[in-house]
Amino acid sequence: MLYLLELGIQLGSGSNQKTERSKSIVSSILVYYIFLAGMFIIGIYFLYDALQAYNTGDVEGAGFSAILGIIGIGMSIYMLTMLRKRVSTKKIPKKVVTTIECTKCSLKKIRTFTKGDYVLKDTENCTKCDQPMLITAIYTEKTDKS
Amino acid sequence: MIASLLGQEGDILNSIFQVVYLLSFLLFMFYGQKIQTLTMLREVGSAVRKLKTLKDDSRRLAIDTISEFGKNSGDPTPRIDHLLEYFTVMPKNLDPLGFVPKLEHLIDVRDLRFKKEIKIIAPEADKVQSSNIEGVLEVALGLNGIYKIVNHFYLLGRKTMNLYVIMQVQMQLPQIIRTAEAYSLAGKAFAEGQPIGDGAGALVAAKMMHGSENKEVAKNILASQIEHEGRTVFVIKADGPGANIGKYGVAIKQFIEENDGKVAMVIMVDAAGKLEGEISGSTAEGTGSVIGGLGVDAFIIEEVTSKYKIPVNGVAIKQSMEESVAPMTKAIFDGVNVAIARVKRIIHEETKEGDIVILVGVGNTVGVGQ
Repeated sequence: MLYLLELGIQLGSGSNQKTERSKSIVSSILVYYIFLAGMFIIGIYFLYDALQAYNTGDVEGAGFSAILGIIGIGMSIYMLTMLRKRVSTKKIPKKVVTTIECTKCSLKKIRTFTKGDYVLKDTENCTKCDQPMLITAIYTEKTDKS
Repeated sequence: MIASLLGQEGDILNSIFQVVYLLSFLLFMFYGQKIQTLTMLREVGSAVRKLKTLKDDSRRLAIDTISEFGKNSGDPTPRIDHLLEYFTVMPKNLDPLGFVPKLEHLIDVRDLRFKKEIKIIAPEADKVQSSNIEGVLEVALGLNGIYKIVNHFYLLGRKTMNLYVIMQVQMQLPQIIRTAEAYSLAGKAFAEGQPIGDGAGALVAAKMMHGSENKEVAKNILASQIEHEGRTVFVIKADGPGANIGKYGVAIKQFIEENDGKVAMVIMVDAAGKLEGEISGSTAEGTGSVIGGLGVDAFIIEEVTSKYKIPVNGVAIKQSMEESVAPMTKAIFDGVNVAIARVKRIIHEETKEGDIVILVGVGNTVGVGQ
């Protein structure tokens, strides 16, 4: 129901004409849900009916009811899945890292990217040999939070 | 209670349910399309909301980035909003003769206009920052365009309740959303000056030319002359680390003509779209001018190389469309090193000592120096 509400809110903005159409769409979806629920219940009933018929020895009737029941349940679940399918809004967080290397002793450091970094930029001095270090790579890494 | 109902009145109930059941099938038969339309409308509606969020975020990012460099020039918002609605009318191609120069002129005018606007709204920005601001604005402009088109089909679909109107956009939604998300990441990359996937080619050239003198040879294009195994290699790339692309075609033409066409080979390295199943960052070699865009540079390169019968070889660094505009991944970065090795092998195998080779690193050079 939450997304029905969302839909209502989203569609509800704008002119009166828009609101009327929004209401019409929301009510159509509501009817559709009721219809699917009904279909599901009837599907369950037919499965039960199939079991009853099988117990009484009516194999043909049981088969017919079972088919109807399975179709009903299957169709209602499928249609519900279709309606609930939403566009993912999940963002994959990515971490940008900067690799710095010493041009003399090849000391390598990897740190988080900071604004102003660019590839092949001379940066801080090497802690080992006091020579200027060079940014050799900037790339993204997927974080575990995703 | 249910058992007694089913036991005593089972036959009547069974008949009612069978009728209802058959009616439901009839309902599906006659209203199936409407149900499908409603389902699709809901899906597109959800995408429109997401696109609006991305569009608004990129607009906010543009405003924040520009405000940083234009504190004394007032609120840039109205001007940015005007720029987000900026359009370009492509030249008419009824008579294709002379189409490319017209297109080139149009691109130049648009570029100049954007640069002037940025100068007005962000007067304190330097050359690199101005280029990055341009990138941020282009992203915001792109996202605004995507949102408006999808929203147009969504509203049109709601108005007409026509399955085929809404289906047009619904079928493309996964690709549209992926593109919009990548654009959104690109906006952040431009704002912060991070290299993007498209810059892989530029990075190859940058690594090759690093440490040697360079000069501007065409608009936003730098060139270095290096020696490699006895060959003279002119390495060309856009002026980094700002978000520049530059006029590669003009630069290559100039080099070839300056050397009276005595160039043994042109090697172009660029990011190329991969197919699903191909590995990101993998490299491939081919023939022809490996360069994207609207085709102006490719046209000039093809003209001049065919005139002087100069072979054009290409090295492509594979990546998805989303990766090409998003911050560069580790896989693409590793692909750059492989591409350099391939370039060196091509030079070694296909040319001889004393030859002149032109190496072009194509792509947006944001976050890539030289």
